Amino acid sequence: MQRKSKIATALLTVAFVSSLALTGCGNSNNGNNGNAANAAELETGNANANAAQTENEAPADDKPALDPVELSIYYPGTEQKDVAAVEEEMNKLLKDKINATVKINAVDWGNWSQKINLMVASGEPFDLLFTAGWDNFSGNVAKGAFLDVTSLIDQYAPETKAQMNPELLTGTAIDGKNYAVPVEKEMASEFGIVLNKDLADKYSFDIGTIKSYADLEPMLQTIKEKEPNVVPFWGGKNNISLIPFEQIGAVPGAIKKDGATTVVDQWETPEMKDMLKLMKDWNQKGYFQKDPATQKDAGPFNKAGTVFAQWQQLTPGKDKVLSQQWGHPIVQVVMTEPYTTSGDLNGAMTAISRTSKNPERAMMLINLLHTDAQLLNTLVNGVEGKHFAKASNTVIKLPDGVVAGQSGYAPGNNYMFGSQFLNYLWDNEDPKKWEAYKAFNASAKPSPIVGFSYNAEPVKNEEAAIANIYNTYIDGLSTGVMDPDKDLPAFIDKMKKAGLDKVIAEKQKQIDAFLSSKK
Amino acid sequence: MNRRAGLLFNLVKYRALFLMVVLPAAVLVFNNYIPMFGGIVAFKNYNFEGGILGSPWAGLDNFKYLFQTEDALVATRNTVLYNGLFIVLNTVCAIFLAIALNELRSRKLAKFFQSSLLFPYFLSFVAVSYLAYAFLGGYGYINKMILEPLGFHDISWYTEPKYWTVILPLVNLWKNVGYGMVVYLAAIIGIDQEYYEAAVIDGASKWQQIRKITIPLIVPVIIVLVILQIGRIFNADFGLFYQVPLNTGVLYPTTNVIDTFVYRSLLVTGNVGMSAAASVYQSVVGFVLVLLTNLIVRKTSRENALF
Repeated sequence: MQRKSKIATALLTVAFVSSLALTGCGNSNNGNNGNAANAAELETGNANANAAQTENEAPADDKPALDPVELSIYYPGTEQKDVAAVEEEMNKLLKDKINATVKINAVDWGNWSQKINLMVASGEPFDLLFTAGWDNFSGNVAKGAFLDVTSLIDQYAPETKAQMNPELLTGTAIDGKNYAVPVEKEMASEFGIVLNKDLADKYSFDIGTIKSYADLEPMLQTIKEKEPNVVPFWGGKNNISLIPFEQIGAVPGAIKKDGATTVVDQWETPEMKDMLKLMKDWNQKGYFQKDPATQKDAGPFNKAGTVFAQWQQLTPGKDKVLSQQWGHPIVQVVMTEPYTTSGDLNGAMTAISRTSKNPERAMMLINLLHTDAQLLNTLVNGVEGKHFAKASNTVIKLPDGVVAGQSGYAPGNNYMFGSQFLNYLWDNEDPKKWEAYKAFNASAKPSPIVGFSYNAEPVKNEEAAIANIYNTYIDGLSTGVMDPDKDLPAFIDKMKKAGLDKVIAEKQKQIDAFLSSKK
Repeated sequence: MNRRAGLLFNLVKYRALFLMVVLPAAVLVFNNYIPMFGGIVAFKNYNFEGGILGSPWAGLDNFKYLFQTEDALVATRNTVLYNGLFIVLNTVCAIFLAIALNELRSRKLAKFFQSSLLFPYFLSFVAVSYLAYAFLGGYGYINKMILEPLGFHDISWYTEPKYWTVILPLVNLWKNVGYGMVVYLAAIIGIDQEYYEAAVIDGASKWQQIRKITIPLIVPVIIVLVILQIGRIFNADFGLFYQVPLNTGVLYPTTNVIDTFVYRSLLVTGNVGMSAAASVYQSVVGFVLVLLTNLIVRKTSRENALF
């Protein structure tokens, strides 16, 4: 009898301990349910924000009446060591102008879209954030994540509106409303590669002969043989974007960059197949980093200078910017023609979160970033005297004793905010860079659908299903880890079953409607 | 005395016990029951302006994408199969280790093994994922220190889904076996020594003692633990399946489980309604599974059923 009760006790203890453990684990479950609570919080948050808005509206023009506020800024990039010093410097500049302080938040590229999605979904209050057409801008607008800033621009950023190319504001509007202020920058894109100049010089490669990936191959072979510690070419999903298609929306479906307006699945084109075969070949020859489909962050390798060649979206003088950022000389090779898509107009914008408690002050800050060179350059280049020194009025150099790439503030966000034409130029850059930008803008071939923005809402179920499939295959196929002969047909087949044809038809329908409305 | 009075009487008589229940019950209600109303988001076309109640209804629209592809089914299959395998593997290994440790003469060594086996249980899966990468990566320990010196080709562990059906159970076993072992060890220590003394007098060997005394006496513990685990068979360990394969797309066919599927759906679509739909799907199927398990247990041994 006694024995039995002893076992029973042991049993009870075990049950108790495990149930404790299980409730502990149960927390992970609550993450799913958390949406509800958060959303509720969001609602109250909104009410507050709205209340704050109405309260603040009256004294907005009366400058001395501005209460001190903190504005947070979010952008994708690596967190910088000296961010506190930069914030302090910006706060000094902002104190008299709009009586605001800033909190700069850099979010890892790898986590950026997730983090923003979660912040938006949870209703966390924040103010300025970077956004772009390629960064799910229209999706976020459809979800109501961003504030409609059309009237805020008129009211609090008249200078910006006056100086900006009007095409930028109209081209980035959705249904005639602006949900973000576009950055004044290049209005076209071209793609190509950047090379480690030290290595290119060491083996005296003739960079002028490179017109396509194929021309690069002998060089990669040399690097592979002679430089065992260098990755000859960085494998990644961007590499395949050299094929001449303009992507529409997030999942496959693109128009060819030859003036055509027919939407096709670019994965079924011969250009894509050839590209994937080349990538597989390169992967087998060992030109990529190890585990290219898993090892996606080139950042540390670039800092160390152990990548020879890699894909980049290029603008005039991009190589000089990267040299500064990575701390060793870089040279760029353009492989496509400059081309203007809607994506290039909305390629970098600043939005105000709908959870912002001080939207009008946030808009004033945006206005300053577009008009105040000193403020903008503090955000993108750091503190004068600490992170850069002035060589002339608009040209800067590294302060004495500071090594390139180790200054403590090189966020690489110079294209993300304000007016790029106000950015100081580094002394290694072409002093005529901004003129070159303007020429670049002028030379670009415009897409037939500039100004079109795709609304994925009618096919969101298909897109979600396709996106899941896409993420399974994209890294593997584009880095040659998967076999294009075997896996590409399977990929296409799965997407078709998930409704890709319907998505493409929807895109076509919207484009046709857009084109006929333009006539 | 009628039933009502009886309840009141019990409430007063056992007030201390009832008081002890109040707090956990409140936590349960707030954490697990109230958020269930959020489930309606799955049937809504959620937007941030309308919120939970104000957003328009969407019917079953949000569920469509789950069944448009086989992804959700593959994830469901993976979840159940992996968890089934984990239960068997971890239980058998934990019992084996517990018995072995119990038989160990040196208490110091036993303590040492016990602690070192339990240690991985406290590691975060992020740390575990980098340990795994250090072993399995292109420049990892297995490729550079084992395969190459032996003259084999490198293996790209992170590009072949088939390897992960073995890697994941091993990682999970390494991480969690210590915990189960401690529980079984406690049960074994609770067995009265008199049984063994009597067995030794009767001339039983060590093996016979284990088979005839130890295992039968810990069977109730095993059953309770296994039932509890089966109840959670539909909840995959997110860290294991998301972090350890480093979220590699190529590996989704064998590493995608319901939890990661739901998470990725939210990230990919950013659509609250659709991710809620995936979550509701998980909950419903999980609930059915628990009921089924309990039904089976009740059929085989009534007193061990949970309800």
